[in-house]
Amino acid sequence: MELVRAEGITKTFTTRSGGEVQALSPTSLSIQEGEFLSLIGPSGCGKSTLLRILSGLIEPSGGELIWKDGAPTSGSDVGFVFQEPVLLPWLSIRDNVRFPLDAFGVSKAEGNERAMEMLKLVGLGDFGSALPKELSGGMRQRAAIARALVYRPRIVLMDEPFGALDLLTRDRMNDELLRIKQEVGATIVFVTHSIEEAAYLSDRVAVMCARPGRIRTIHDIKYDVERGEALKDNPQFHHWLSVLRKELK
Amino acid sequence: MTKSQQRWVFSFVTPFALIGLWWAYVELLNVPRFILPSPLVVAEELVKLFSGSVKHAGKTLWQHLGYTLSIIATGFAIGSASGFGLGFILAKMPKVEKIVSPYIFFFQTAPKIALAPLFILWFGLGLASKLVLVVSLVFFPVMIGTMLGLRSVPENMISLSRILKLTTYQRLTRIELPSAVPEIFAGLKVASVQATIGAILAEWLSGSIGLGYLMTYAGATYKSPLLFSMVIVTALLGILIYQFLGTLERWLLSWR
Repeated sequence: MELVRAEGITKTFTTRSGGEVQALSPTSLSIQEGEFLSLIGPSGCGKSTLLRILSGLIEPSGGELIWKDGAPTSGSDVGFVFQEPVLLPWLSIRDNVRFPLDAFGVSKAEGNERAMEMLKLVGLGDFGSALPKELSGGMRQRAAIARALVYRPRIVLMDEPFGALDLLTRDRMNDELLRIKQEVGATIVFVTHSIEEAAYLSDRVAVMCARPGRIRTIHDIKYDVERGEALKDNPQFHHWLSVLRKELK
Repeated sequence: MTKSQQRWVFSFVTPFALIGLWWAYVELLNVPRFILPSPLVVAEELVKLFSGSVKHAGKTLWQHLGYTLSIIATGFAIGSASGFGLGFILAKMPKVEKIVSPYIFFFQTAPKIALAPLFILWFGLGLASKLVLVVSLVFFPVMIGTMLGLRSVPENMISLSRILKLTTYQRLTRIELPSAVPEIFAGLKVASVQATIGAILAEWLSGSIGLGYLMTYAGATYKSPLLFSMVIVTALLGILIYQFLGTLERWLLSWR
């Protein structure tokens, strides 16, 4: 089932000197319900721009988004995970995760319950009362993911969520994300510049290229085995890595 | 020396050594009391003052102190509330800021203390001119802290509020104001010191009550021990007010 379709989306930025830069040339993309779609490409290919257009943070210069049940009207329709956790430092981890629910008018008791449930899901069940500064980078990013999932948005957009983490933590977070996705069943659009990450996590990978930004190809990533550590030694995985790498050149 | 030993030296040994030096200087060189009273005399004076057994200019120290404190508190409240208000407006309306900022800058740099006699001319010798001086000193640091705080809300937090489609009011109360608290507090702390200086100076210039008045009174009547006691009392008052705000800040900003 198609959740949202981007049709001929373009984006032109005006520079300070008055010149125009085309960040995104007409781009069309269909996003299926429940899929994990990665946008991958070099910097300047417009992957973040496309993600931000999907989120409503920026308006496209042309084209349109067609949503299955109409464009998002409430904040609870879209979840967004930034490269940094963007937690509110004055709130405890639990209150941070409850923050969207508070804003949407969910009662405090129910909000606490749902926040704690979500924190358990991301492995932070014991850290609800901690302050953001007391957690490691990986844990903070998990809390940020919990905050984006807690209100069950129609779509979760992630902008290089693990880009600022070290490699080991990043690997672990990828496994966590696979597990969380399976439990929650959310539709996820994931921006990354890591080929491994894209091939490991995605149902589909859209390879983008720069000047002007556009989608070059879209691959259905299918494996005969289940996703997990073992997949990384699987020839199919390495096949996708080499395909994607060649396309990015 | 360990850290705790160092702390001990700084908080006990050094002050006592300095007081000892002062005492020795006065005693050995026979310095006249009205030029520099010995620390013992000053201590005696302080005890008398705080016990309330002696009245200067018709009032006990506590009455003078109460008057000064009420000026500081009232001026601080009015000044910081209006400073916050204008800072908020300027932060939220860049167009207004463009128009008024040159004038604000002018009044901000103008030496308010030099304007004090003018304030007396305009607002009389009573309470009003004193409050005006304190308010004018408190206003700017708080205004600037508020502007700075509201302007430096991280971009991503604003993006988050847009993703969640927060109302303007929600964004303000749940994200922008809490995020601006550190800068606002920095302004309040500077303002508190200024308010103390302003109140004492205003009393120094006019009126017949307050710590500032007591200092001019002591100076004019060559009551040096009283004058020295007042220097200590006013300094302690400034430190106390600053510490009070510091504690409040640590409590409010424990998340930092």
